[in-house]
Amino acid sequence: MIDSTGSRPGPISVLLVEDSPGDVRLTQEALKDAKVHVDLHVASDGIEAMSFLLRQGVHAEVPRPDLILLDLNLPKKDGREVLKEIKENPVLALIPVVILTTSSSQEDVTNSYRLRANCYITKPVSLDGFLKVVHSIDDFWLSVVRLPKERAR
Amino acid sequence: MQVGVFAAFATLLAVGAVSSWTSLQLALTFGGALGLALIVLGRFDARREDAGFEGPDAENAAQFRLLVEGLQDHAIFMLDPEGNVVSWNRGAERIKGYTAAEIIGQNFSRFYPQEDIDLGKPEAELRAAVSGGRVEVERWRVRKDGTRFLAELVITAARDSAGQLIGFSEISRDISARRDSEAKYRGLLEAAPDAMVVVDQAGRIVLLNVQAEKQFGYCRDELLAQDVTLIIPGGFSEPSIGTGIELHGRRKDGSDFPIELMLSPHQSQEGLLVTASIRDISVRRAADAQLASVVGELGVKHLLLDAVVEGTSDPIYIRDLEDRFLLANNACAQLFGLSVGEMIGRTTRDLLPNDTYYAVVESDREIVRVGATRVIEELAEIDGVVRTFLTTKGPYRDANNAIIGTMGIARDITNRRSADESQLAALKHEIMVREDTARNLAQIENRYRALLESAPEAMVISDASGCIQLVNGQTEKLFGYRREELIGKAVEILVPTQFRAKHPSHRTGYHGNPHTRSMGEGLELRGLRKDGREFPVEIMLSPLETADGILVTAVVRDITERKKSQEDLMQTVGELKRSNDELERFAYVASHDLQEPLRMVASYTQLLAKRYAGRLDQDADEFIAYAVDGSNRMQRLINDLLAYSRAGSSRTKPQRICSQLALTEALVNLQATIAESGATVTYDALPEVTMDETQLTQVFQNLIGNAVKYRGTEAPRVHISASSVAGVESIFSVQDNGLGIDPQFFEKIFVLFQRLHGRGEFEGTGIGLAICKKMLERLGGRIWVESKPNVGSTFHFAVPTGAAR
Repeated sequence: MIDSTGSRPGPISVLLVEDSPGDVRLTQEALKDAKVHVDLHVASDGIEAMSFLLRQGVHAEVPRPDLILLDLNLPKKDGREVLKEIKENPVLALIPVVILTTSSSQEDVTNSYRLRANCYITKPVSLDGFLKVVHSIDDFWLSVVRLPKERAR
Repeated sequence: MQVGVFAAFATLLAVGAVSSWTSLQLALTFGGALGLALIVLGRFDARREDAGFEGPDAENAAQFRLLVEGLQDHAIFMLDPEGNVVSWNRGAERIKGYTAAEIIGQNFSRFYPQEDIDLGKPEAELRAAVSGGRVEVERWRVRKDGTRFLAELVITAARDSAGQLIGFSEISRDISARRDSEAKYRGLLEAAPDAMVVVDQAGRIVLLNVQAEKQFGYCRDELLAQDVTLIIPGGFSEPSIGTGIELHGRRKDGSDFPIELMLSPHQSQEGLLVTASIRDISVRRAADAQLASVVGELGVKHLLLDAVVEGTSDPIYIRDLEDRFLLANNACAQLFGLSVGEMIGRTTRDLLPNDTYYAVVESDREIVRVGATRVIEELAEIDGVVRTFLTTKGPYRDANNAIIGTMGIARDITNRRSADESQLAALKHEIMVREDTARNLAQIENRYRALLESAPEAMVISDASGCIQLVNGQTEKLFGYRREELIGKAVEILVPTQFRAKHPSHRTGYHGNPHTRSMGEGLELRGLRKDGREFPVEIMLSPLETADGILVTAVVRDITERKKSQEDLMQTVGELKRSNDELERFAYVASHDLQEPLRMVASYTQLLAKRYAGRLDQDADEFIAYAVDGSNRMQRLINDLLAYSRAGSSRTKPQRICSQLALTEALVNLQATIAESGATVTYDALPEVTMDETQLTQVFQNLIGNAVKYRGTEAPRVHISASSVAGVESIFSVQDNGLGIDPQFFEKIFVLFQRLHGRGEFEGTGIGLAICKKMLERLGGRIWVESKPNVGSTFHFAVPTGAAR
């Protein structure tokens, strides 16, 4: 399927790494109004996220995502480790990673950028704030930005 | 005329003959007279040798010569105008070591050390005497054997009646010993556990010890020559001398504390000096109250007894077992035509002829033998007249009840022999009553011992070999030994075994360099009780030179209580710190971990409200509204709690910052609020402070924000100013014309989540001032408010200078 603008083939595949079902649902709700059709995949911990990205086991057939939304505080494998592994992998390193977390600590911010996160967003506490953030991600990362073409299939 | 001078001078020298330097100096104010007198004496001698001069003048001269000769303590000699010795007294011979034959005709410069001779001092001093009349100096002098001594000397120019210089007189004295005793006195003064201050007649401080510096917080130079009321506002006057009186001392910082004062007067060259021993009794008031009352009672009793003893016309005396007078009142002394001072030390043997002496001694022995008081009729031949006395005689005992003499009150009844029996009986009765008085006298003899005994600290006196010589009652109590178990033992008996081996070497070390100091500075010292228990002590050592060598006084203070309360305090501080840290961690964790579930509650109730508003019934809309409001407030509280727990825990070190910049930043942050309320904010120039800039910005922001928020009817006017106490702190003030605060809430407003207004009136959780307070207190600063309802409030906060905690 070719987009009318011709700029991007759809649908866009997004991996949300998030252990809180409430946040997953909120993200899904927010993306309902997205400008593009989003194919949202969810991994609820760091190990599952890496398994998904590396297409291991049950994830052998999954698509490589166009964008990763990554929480930092995750069970089993920490979001910081996940970020590090992604950016050290030559293939996965091309995928933009948006850190979406409750932590507002300056240390986490600095450290994430040092590990080459593409941007860092603190989850707003209010619903409106949260919706606005998800819409901005939609606007910017999924519509404005040109993503790399080498999407390994 | 010459004879007149002689007479005047002879009188003066007679005063001087009691060997008081002061009197001699008085005499020397007539130095001219002396010089002249000595010159005349010299000439007189010459004349007598030449012509066998005789008559009244010769007699005067001989007397005078005897007086000068007799002065052993003072070198007195004459010099001719060139400084050659022309006369020499026995004192000069004793002090300088030359005989008259050896020195007469020699120049006096040989008394000076070589370095002074090289500097021309001998000649310079003669010149000074010529121009000024006399010279009074302290100089090193050299004896015949080459040894040196410190001399106090007066050189006076002598002139004849025509004003022609005929020579010089010099009077000098060896004051090395006085220097030594001064040093000893100073040593004792410094060793005293109490503050000591010596005050002259005008009330000015002339001497003080290190304890006084400590107690009043001044350094020595700040107190010397100052009026004593600076540190003891009530001052002290002579009637209080010798008694323990309670007054208030004032420290340099202006704070008062109760003191106990012991005063003792003594005569010196500078006139009457009073030594005040000052004890801070704020801590040990209870213990010392007892001591003070004992001292007070003794003082009163002493005055009372003194009045009784001296007020009576009956002779009263105390004699020791060798028959020497230890005490005699005026009436007793007058009986023998002596002064009280002359009586002391004399025996009845000296005073009474054989006949009566034997009887008196016999009755004394009887009293000592039976140990009881008797009323005896005895005879005494005085000035050739046999007088009859009715004497109440009793044994005189020491503190241990051992008889060490006799005491008696005698009534001269020579002229009453004819009185009838009843009169005599009454008299006997009266005298029996006086016996009590005499017994009390014995107690007074022991009052110093009693004072030593009631000293609040244990005192152990030992000799150079570490052998205990003397202990007081407190020592018995503290260490659990009886006195006789300690006397003669090595002082190590009181030292715990693990320290015992090293102690003798410490002791030897101390004797090698004895001075007043505390033992084992910085070490934990322990004492050992007889029952084997150890306890912490603080020990002050001071040397005391005696004829038997150096004795060391150790003042031992049991610091168990102090240590315990210190440890308790440290423990409490530790516990408080722990519980504080825990609370802070708790607040941080709680607010962090509460965030997540709360965000869910808030988000979904908000989602409900958004999606389903108007689609359910009215009740559902209302309920959802409350849930949304509640979760919103909860979120704000948690955020504030988080902010509070973080407040002041800045990772960056406080730096010197310009507080003006922090204020500007705060005003930028508040721009919208200020514009909205139409507030006017003004400020003075603000100083540099040492603080985290972000924190200072937040303090300004909270205070100015409040000033604008809690506005009155007029448009808000806010003014920020600052003042500095150099080297202490900078104080900032934020003044508004707002609602003001009732004084009863001045404390409450700084407490976390405490608010004075309903939520309907003003927004907020009650966090701003709590955060300001926490930040400032972390820095060692403080915050407070002055306010009048409906007029306005001024919030002040102080940032310590160089705060770097």
